[in-house]
Amino acid sequence: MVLNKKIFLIILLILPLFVSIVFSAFPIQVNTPNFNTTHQIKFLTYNTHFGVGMDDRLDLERIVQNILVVNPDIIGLQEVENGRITSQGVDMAQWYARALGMNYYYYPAVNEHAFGCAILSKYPIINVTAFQLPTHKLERVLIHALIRINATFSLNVFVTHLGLQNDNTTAQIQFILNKTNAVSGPKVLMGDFNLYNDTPQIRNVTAFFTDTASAFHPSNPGNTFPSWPAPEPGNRIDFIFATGYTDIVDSHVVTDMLPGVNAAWEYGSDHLPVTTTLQY
Amino acid sequence: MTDEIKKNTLFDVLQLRLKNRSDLIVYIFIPLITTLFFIEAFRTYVPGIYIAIYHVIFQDEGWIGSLMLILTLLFFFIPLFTNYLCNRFGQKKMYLVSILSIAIVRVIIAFHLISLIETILAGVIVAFFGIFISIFLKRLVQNDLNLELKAKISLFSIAFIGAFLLDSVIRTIGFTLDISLVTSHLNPELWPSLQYLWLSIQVPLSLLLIWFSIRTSTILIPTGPSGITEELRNEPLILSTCGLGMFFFLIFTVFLYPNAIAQYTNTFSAIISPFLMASLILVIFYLLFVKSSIIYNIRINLCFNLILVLVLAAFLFLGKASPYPIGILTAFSIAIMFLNTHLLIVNMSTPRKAGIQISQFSKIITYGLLFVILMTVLHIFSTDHAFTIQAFQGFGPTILFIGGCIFALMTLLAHIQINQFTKGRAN
Repeated sequence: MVLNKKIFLIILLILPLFVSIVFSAFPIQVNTPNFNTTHQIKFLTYNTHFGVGMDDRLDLERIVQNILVVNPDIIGLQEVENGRITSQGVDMAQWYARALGMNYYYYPAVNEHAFGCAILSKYPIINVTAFQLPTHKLERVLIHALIRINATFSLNVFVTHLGLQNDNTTAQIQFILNKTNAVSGPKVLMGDFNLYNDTPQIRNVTAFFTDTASAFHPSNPGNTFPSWPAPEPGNRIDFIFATGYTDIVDSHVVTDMLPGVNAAWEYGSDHLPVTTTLQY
Repeated sequence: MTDEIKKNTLFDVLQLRLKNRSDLIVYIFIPLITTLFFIEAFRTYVPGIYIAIYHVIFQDEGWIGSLMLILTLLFFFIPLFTNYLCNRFGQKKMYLVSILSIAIVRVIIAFHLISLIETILAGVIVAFFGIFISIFLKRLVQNDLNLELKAKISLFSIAFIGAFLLDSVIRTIGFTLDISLVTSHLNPELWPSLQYLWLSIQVPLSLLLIWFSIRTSTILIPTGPSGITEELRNEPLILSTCGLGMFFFLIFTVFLYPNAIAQYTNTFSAIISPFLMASLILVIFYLLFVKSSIIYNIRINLCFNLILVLVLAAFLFLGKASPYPIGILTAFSIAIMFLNTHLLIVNMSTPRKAGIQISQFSKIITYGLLFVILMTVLHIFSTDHAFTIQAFQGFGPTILFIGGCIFALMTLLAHIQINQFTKGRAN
């Protein structure tokens, strides 16, 4: 009888370990799209504000819901963190990747776990490099990923988050352009640039890339910050730049996360995501 | 009885002494669930306060509201009034009020209210948990359970550690109000409704807690004069206060989270997570199935704490040099942390000259949580906010290490004190 109780207790205590191993070992399920049928790739850039919306609520599921409104193939995320008490210790990039079923790479900017950028892709990421940007304020990063779209086509994708206007953004842009110009072939550069489109720094970028939102909607490319309050945000500081594509199929700022809802709580971040679909 | 527990394991003693199922509900289930709600609330409270501090520092929009939120830190002082409240309203009433508040507030949080209210409510749970635990420990020590003090505290420690284990399981399964450790695919159309799914667990769990606590309250607090005025005496309880403060600081800053350990050591969190859970299970087994002569052997605990400090140093300063061995060792060192916490609780529950007092526990809980805040603020300004005070930059791991050393030292001194008290009583 005592032995039975002992065995029952041991099983009861060990059970959580098995549950943990089974759930933790579950790999990320990635459904790679068939590029050969459409020849289109949908991109999205989103400054996630550490998963905290304009209502100050930390909610990663809401970020994922916001992203799934457009269901992109390749995502550039900014203000992502890992293992911080403020986000209940989770690895945000991995969390998003699992929830979205995508491959991922994360590179932190501050203190080896905060303020980083991440790239998520339904296509395999075959090579990735990350760089610290020149700064005299808060550390900033650039991620360069080589993504294999199919056997004959690989795409260079750059994700970044620049410093604020009082930082050395000119040097940061120059650094980024040095890296993007060092590779050939189709390229996409996306992120939160903290700069308006009429600034000299952004004009430097558009000397080499097309601002896809401006090219698709020349009169009103859409503002991205802040996400709330209504009626609409006042600044455009998040961009998707591209080169080497054949056509821009679509480009817009994602504004309606939940149809019928018009409240702060539908937005996962203080920024709005920008999406662009390119034909190759 | 002392000889009996020295010769036998806690499991054997409980087999003989604790036959009543209601006792198990009172001394295991209720502290386990309330501690679980406390862990969840504290984890919610800290980010809320952190965001509020950020708004106030940068004085951006809504910083005045954030300043008000920071004032909720005053909630942490509420447990200091436990003795007064018990004298005024009675221990049983305060015990039930604290459990009811924790259970109900936890359900309200599950409704996804606005962040400001959620943070305030999480603070309320932390405050009421301080009241609950003070009354609970006082009664646990005082009640005649036919168990030695160390066995009684082991019972509580198992519930306390079990709450951390349960929390890990819930977060790993992903069926949680908190951010889960492992995620499943999200259904964007159903998400607005699905986020309330946790209520189907939370409501019955809270109801069960309330029902059991009402049904069994007379077992913990027998009927009689409940408003006993206690003579307040200052007892040197700095060891337990400081030690428990450092424990909560270390746990809630890094060691509760497999991803945080993985981040420091550059390892895969899915591998670290089961080891973290295994260490929690290990310490429960240790308390249950190892003889107390070994558990309370100061030489063994000295060795454990030396290992803890060495692993902590390796983790914080050499984590990336040997990622997996150090990551796994760190996960296992959590077992020593919980064992230390058990010793600190034994120390604070050991009756002094003034006897065992509620204020003894409430002071330790309150000042311990203040230590957590102090160390957390120091840590924040040496890591994430290091750009605001340049001199603090890079001191994050050092502050964690100092916290770990203080924790180990306080535990060893507390252990010496336990032995002195035990010998004193024997003489």
